[in-house]
Amino acid sequence: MGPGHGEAIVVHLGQGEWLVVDSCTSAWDGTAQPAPLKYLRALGVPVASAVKLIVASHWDSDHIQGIATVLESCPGAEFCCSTTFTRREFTNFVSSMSLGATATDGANVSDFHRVLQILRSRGEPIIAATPGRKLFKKPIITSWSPSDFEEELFLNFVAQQHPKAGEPYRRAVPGSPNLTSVVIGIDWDDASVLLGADMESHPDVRRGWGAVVSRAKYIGFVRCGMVKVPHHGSHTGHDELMWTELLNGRPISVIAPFGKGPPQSRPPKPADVRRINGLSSSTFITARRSTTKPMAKMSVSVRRSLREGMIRIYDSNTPLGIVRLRRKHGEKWKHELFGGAVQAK
Amino acid sequence: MNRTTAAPSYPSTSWDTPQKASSPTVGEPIVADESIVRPPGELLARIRAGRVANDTDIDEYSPRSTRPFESPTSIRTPATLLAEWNGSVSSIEQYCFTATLKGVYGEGIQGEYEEAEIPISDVSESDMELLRPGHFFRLCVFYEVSEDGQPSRSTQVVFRRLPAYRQHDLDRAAERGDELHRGLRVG
Repeated sequence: MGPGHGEAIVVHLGQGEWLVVDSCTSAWDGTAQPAPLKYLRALGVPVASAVKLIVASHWDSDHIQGIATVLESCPGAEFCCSTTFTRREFTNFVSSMSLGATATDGANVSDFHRVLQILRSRGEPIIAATPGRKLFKKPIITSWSPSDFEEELFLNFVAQQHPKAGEPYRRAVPGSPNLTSVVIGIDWDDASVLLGADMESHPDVRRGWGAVVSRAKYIGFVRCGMVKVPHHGSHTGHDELMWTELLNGRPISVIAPFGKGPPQSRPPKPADVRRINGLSSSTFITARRSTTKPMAKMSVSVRRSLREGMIRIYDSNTPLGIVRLRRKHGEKWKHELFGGAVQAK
Repeated sequence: MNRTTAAPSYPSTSWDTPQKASSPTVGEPIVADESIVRPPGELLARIRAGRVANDTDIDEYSPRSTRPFESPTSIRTPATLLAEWNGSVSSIEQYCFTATLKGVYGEGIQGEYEEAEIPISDVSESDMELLRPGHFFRLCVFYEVSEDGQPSRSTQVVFRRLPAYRQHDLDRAAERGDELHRGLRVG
């Protein structure tokens, strides 16, 4: 589901048990109910007991908006994230950035800070995602990233970003956290799914898809027939190795578009969709491009002033859409589309 | 600050009304009233004599215009705030920076979240050191009418000088971070 503000995935594992990967909301400030909770409650799922595992794929506002609320509402769930977020360096960073939280509107760490506080108060162990780690028994859920090398790089970044005395309060900007994404494989008896998070390609084989594929080949990997296309379908998330080594011939692909930034550069671009169509048996996109023009609701004077000042305002309230793919044992996948979701192939 | 001048408009002013024959016309030099002009050197003499302290009529010595008094503020309007956002820098490019904006004031703006690209040239020299990811600023759009009746609009980017992190607070935050870390169980 997505984008609204972010993207999220819910997976029925069987026997009334559910997996939630990431969280998004339909409002920027996170006041709206997280989309995964809203969806599950609409289905009549008792989230408190039925959600068994929550995965925070990485620290990026479009993936963790409302994740603390999801965790709070699902006391029966285990929580999985990168080891990085359990390290002393990160807890110190989050604690320090929270100093100016009132002035900085949460400093962009409030969700993770709350998550860590909830987990501490519960005393439940955090499942640290590492390549090849089994997160769940049936179906088998396996994390394939992040690599140790990537985690060290991220901790270096956190050290550089740590606030220093004399600096004004500011928001934390995660930089490029996509390579620390937790990529997940889910294997049922007769079907497998790859959730690519925001993982990107990188020329260094210790990083990105190169690292994921090398570990998967070393440990053993069941090729998947369906993929949540990494990094919103962008070309930076594309890696031939992922398509050739981790997926079946032509998988079903689902893209959750990116809802921020200049509209012309938001992935997936038309070329991205064509590329993914060429590699897939079917392609679904959770939402169309937003057609809302935020400046249209402003007064003429303000619009003219912004234009003349070369200031561009972009819409960031792309409506949330849902692609639902279901199958019964031994049957083919059936799709249903909600909101702005579309089938591209 | 980016200033743009709106299309000219000509509000009715006293300049449009005929002047009396004795009044100077626009462009004519102002002529002093000789009746109040004191002899040269008299002021200096009074200062030397210590008679000018608290002397409220000292401006009598200035040439006085015979032109009817017109306050220039009768035309100029104070700048009116049309729109205001609270922004946070997301990234910095070569010529512009991207930011998330939260609408603070204005029609169709208040309470809305947007994203924006803003030219770096709009950032004043004194604020340039604050142009860093995560830092906060205010983006405002003003409207005003100048002394000559010319309406204009302007946009202004002002970086906020929020309170600074203090070493003492950072040390305590680190202790809380350590405590949080000790309380976490990693499986």
